Amino acid sequence: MIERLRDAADAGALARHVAAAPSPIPFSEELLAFTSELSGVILNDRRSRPLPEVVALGYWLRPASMRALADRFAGLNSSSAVRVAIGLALHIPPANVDPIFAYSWILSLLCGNCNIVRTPSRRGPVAELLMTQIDQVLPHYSRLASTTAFVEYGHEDSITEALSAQAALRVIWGGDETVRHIRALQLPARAKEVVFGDRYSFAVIAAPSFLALDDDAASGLMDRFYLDVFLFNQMACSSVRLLAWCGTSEDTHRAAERAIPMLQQAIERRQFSLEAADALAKYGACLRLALELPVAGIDWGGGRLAVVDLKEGEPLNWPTEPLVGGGLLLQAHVAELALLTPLIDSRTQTLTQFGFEVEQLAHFVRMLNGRGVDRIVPLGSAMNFAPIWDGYDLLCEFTRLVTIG
Amino acid sequence: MSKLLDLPIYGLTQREKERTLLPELAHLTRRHRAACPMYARILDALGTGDEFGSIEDIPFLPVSLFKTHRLLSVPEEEIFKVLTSSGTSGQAVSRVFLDKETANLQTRALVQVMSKMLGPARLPMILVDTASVLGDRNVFSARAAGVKGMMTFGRDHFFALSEDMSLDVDGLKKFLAVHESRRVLLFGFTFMVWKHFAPAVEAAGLRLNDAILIHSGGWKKLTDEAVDNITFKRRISEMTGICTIRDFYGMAEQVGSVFVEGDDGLLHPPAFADVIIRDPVSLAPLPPGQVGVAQVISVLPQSYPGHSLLTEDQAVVHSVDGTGTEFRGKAFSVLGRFPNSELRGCSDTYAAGRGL
Repeated sequence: MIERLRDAADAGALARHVAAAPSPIPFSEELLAFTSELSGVILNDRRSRPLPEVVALGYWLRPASMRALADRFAGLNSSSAVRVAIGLALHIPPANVDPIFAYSWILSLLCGNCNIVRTPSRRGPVAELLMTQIDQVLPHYSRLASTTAFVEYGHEDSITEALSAQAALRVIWGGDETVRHIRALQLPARAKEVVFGDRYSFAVIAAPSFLALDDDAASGLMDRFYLDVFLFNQMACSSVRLLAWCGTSEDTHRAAERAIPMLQQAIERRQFSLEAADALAKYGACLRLALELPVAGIDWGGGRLAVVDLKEGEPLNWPTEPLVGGGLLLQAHVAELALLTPLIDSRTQTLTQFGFEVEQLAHFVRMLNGRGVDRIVPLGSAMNFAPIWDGYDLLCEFTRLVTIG
Repeated sequence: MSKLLDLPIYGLTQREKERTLLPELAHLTRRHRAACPMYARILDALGTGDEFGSIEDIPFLPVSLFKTHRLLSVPEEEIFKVLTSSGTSGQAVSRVFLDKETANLQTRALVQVMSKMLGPARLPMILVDTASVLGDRNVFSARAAGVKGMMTFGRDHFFALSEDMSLDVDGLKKFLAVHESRRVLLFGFTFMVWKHFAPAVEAAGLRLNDAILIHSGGWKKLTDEAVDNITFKRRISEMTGICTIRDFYGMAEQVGSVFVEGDDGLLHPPAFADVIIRDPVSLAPLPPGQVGVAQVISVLPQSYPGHSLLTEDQAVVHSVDGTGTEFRGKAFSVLGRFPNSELRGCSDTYAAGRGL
């Protein structure tokens, strides 16, 4: 299923072969049958259940959700402009967020492209399971199967170059380093590149709204918030790094004191495990944060969640050192949304929120006036993938327009 | 403080030792807190009080903090020397600031430990290193500091390695001829002894029968080659004939942690130092027999807040106040670093070279 590429000649031959395959019409019935069957396999697989990121993919692939996507795609066409496939797409997914390779591939497939997907050589359990599930379904769709190749190789630039030489679209889910590196490798003159660099995300909760919840609701909310923080070891671009409580000083402190033990319970329930080396790095990071930022207190707890509480009333700032992840949560107390502004710049991706009205958020976004933030999502859904990502509509990015008239 | 250096070096039971160390450690914690603003800031953030019920309550700094921050508790003009850790190229090195008092304590502590092991007479000494390691006089690298520190315990020094790390066979032959039938002391870094010295001695057909080898510097490279302490001792002995081989665990960041291997093959803290094994995630202390991360403690660091440090080494306490040996207190061994997982951000798919 996964082809191991040995050298550039190998890669070139494969890329030419895949590029020559007859590609499907965007959102064809065949494609929707495939996504529907894959959804069923994922959601009925017992092995998926403990892996929320796998279940989320299964839900995204459900027929209703795919129909809605197809409708939106139809809306991107008009009588005078038809969206068509670009050609061969080369996907370079990240190593830290396993399911991205599947989203990137499926979206591009739905757009009618042929695809070469580089898979991580050290696949985690999520990627392994997804590959198995894809393998159960894809061979039944021989035409689609012939348009797709999953490949693995080391870090040989010559192989990436050979694949790129045949590509009409290159998608790099890197961080800045990866983007810089791969961008330097030649693409055909007319090929297009879509890149995703380093991003940061954080959360804000209206303290009075949280305090108004009964215990079950509050605990359920923190259980969903667990996913925002801990999935992908808190190293995804959408992972919550900082939680800001918004309200009066008394409310924000009361809310924090109520919420953190609930989050600890979620960690216990979901059995988050942290490697020793990561925990030790996190301890060092917490202490260095105390030297750089106005820190009111460090709560190491049992070590899996370390809360670094920032002093109220001091201006908010990110630390200069990249945050280590693995359950390090900065916590801030602010009187109003506007005070979050210093945290927001072009690298801010997701603002996860609870307890705010749409108008309040829209007002905040207008006030930011493009300073940053690509998406504002309800608490618990920071990790939900959407076809509009980092401000790009991938249905548009993965297709081109033919004008008529 | 200095009276602690006169206590029986391995003779205190764990209880006696903790009773002796606790007031010193509490005093040092308060002293550094008052004199080192960064240390105070960390303790404030950790919510540390000024009273401590046991040595386990003393806060601990991660060793890595000395790589990123200049931590000192004396005015700059009182700095007598700066120790740096040995880092591989490109890595940050630790910087540790000693005043005269701390430097003196360091020397005295080393004398206590070594004279206990080597006896009062200075032995003819082979340094498994190059003479040029002593080159820079101002900045003391851990390797240079280790070599210099140990040189005082021997005489008629001979540096066994040439610039290219090859064995000076002729020089060694001459040295052995001059000191024939005398006991000889060797000191070197674990990996250099293993890689550059012992195989070359064997190839040259030389034997160092009545010799004691003290080696230090860590097991990382040897663990990578799946060589443990028992294998190391057996192979070195086979290759060179050396019968007494002693590991020495310590670090540039903590003056006074000189943990030397006894006849039992285990490391023993001297009276003025100790080790606490903690769970690497919860950081709670672990009982003997359980592997965790080593926290090292020493009452010697007066000029910088390094009296209680969390290492990145895996270790286990095998026994406390064990009978049948002259050693009281904890007996432990170090099992190398924790496997490095380095949480991976989006950015390292390529750069780290291990992802995709």
